[in-house]
Amino acid sequence: MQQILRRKSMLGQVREHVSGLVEGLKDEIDTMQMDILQSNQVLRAFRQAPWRIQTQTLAWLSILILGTLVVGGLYLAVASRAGNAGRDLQAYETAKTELVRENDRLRAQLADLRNMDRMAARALGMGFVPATPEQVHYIEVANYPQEPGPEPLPVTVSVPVPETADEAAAAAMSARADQGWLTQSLTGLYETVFGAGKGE
Amino acid sequence: MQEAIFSRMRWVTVGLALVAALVVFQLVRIQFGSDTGYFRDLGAEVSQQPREFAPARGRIFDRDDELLATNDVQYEVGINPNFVIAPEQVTRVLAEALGKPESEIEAAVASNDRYVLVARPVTAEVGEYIKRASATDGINLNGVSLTPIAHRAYPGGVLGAGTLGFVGYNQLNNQVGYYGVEGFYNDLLSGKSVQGIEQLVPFDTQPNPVPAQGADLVLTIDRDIQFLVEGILKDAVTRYGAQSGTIVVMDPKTGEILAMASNPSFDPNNYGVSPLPEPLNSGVTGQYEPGSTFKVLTMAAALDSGLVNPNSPFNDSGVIEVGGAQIRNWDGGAWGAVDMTGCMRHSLNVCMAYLSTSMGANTFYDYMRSFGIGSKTNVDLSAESPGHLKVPGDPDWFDSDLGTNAFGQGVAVTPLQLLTAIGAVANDGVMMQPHILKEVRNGDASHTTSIQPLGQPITADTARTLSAMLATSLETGEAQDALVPGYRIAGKTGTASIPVPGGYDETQTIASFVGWGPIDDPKFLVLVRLDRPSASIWGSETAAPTFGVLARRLVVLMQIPPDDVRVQMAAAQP
Repeated sequence: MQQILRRKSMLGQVREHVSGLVEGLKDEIDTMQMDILQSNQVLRAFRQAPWRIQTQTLAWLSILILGTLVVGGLYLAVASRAGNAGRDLQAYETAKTELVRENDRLRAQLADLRNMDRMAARALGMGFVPATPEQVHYIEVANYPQEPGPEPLPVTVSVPVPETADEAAAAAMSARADQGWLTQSLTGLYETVFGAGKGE
Repeated sequence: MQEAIFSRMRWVTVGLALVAALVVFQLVRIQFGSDTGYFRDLGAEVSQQPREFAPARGRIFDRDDELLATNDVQYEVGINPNFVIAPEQVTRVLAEALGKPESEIEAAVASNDRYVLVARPVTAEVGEYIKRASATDGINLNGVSLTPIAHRAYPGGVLGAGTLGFVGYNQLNNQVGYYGVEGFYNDLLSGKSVQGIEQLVPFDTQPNPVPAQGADLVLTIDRDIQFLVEGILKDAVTRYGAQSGTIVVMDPKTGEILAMASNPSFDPNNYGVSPLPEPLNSGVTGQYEPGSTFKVLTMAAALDSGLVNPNSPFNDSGVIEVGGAQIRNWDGGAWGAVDMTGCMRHSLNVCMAYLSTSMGANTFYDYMRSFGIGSKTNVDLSAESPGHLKVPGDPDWFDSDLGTNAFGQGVAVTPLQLLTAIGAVANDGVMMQPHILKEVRNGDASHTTSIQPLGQPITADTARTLSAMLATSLETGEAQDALVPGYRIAGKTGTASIPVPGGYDETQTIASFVGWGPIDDPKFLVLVRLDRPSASIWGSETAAPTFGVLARRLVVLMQIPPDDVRVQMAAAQP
């Protein structure tokens, strides 16, 4: 009985001790929570400090401005190069036009210097005179290359003499239809030069 | 105090932000709002302008690639008074360059207009002078505008002017060819313009569009022959006191026109300076009653139809009545018994009227139509006239026309038309299409025109027979000045009365000659026409000697050996 009572007493003591320990732990936990709470408050206060927000804002603005400057700079560089290229192109077009004009002018000047009046006057001035047939002597040169004669006629058309005026008119119309030579030739020519079926 | 400053700064910041927002809003509105189109057009108006990119006009060469027509530049000189910085210098330089009084330039500089035209056109030399002055240190020509103008240049001046035509400007200030080759081939020569946009802002600049260039033309004209012909024609017109004249030289085997000259002529470089001659190119436009040169065709028809042969006799009584009209010879005389060669030698009107009436109207006019009389030759030159051939059934045809037409009166032809028809006699009966274009070049593309027969109105035998008859009649007739020693030439003179209201001019004539040679291998066919010569009315005394002078130079220029040399050469060939 006494043992039971002793054990009960011991259990009570243990229980009290444990309770004490638990209470102590609770107190420590509360203390720690308080500490944590206080730490969070400090941290929040730190985070929400005006100088820190301003610094961040300033940083973001700086990044934005820097980005804008980089993009704008790139754009300006590209635009500047495109502008320069365009200006060069305009200059080349102008130079090309001027060179074509100059070329034309020189060609006209050269042709003017070869003008028949000028050439004839120079020849006469140098003592040349037009040759007469009697002054020309032809000599035969063996195997001398002959100038090619005219192209052979495509067709030698034999036109029978018409018996009546109507037939004659028809024949004349037929012959005039050969003005097709010109129409066809010109059409083919135009297509050769400017291409077929191209509008303005 | 500090609080007040901060407060003001806030207000300034708000104000600036509002302004910035307004700017951004406007930018967005302009870019994406309902007025986008308006602003885009406004921008385009100042940054770009529509422009026609015109190609250079094609050049024209002779058959040996000698330049006949090319492009040059001239300038328009103007002043923008608002931009003039040194009025005295502008006045002095322009007055010197343009040869204008300084007061005129001063008035232009002082004008309130935005632009004052000072001179147009001025030569390239004047333009270069102003450019050089502008580049000189110490001279400020700000405000002077020098605008290039495309200009057509003809290095030969009057050479071939009637055949080439000229280039003028239409209402849009574009070059347009008028008359001759320039007119006929204007589309080919001018190329195709391109409508494009010229970007004034360098950022948007694009290469200019390249228009289809005008094609270069190579003509059948020989510049040396043309020069020779024009010189001889000018001399002939002066020597014989003619009002005007025409010479056409053709290759009878190909129809190529080697030279075509009219006198008086004009300078296509300065076509506006004096009135243009009328017609501009009488070779294709100036139709006339040909007179006796037409007898070649009448005799060709008579021989070809089998009515006569060269030895057929004819007793010339000096007069024949056709359709109530009495036809007499040119001298009013009766030549008695002659043969057909004699008819040609003495150019007997009575004989020709006899032949045409014997053939009958149908046969005679059928032949004339086959020769192309009364129809255009369709030569590739502007403003060709068709001539005029009256035929039975026409309201203006009378029976007497059959007689008068036989010797070239009452019928109208152009020199080229008659030459083409008589070309059949020179070319074994085959009439060739006359043409002046030999080749077209455009970049790498090239097109050579082909020769084309128009028809064969008479047989080769008839043609050769008639050629021999005409050569004989020339050698023994009145027009021996047309002969060339060493060469057998065929030809026929013509002395045509000129129709005037109510009849014919009794005092003046059109003298002409058609000839070709050498007759066994014809290289040239020439028509000489002198209008109203005062030295002599007869073709045998004016046009025939002119032909002779020309033919003697032609055989040298065309390097045609004399007949005996050619025979030897032909015999030596295997």
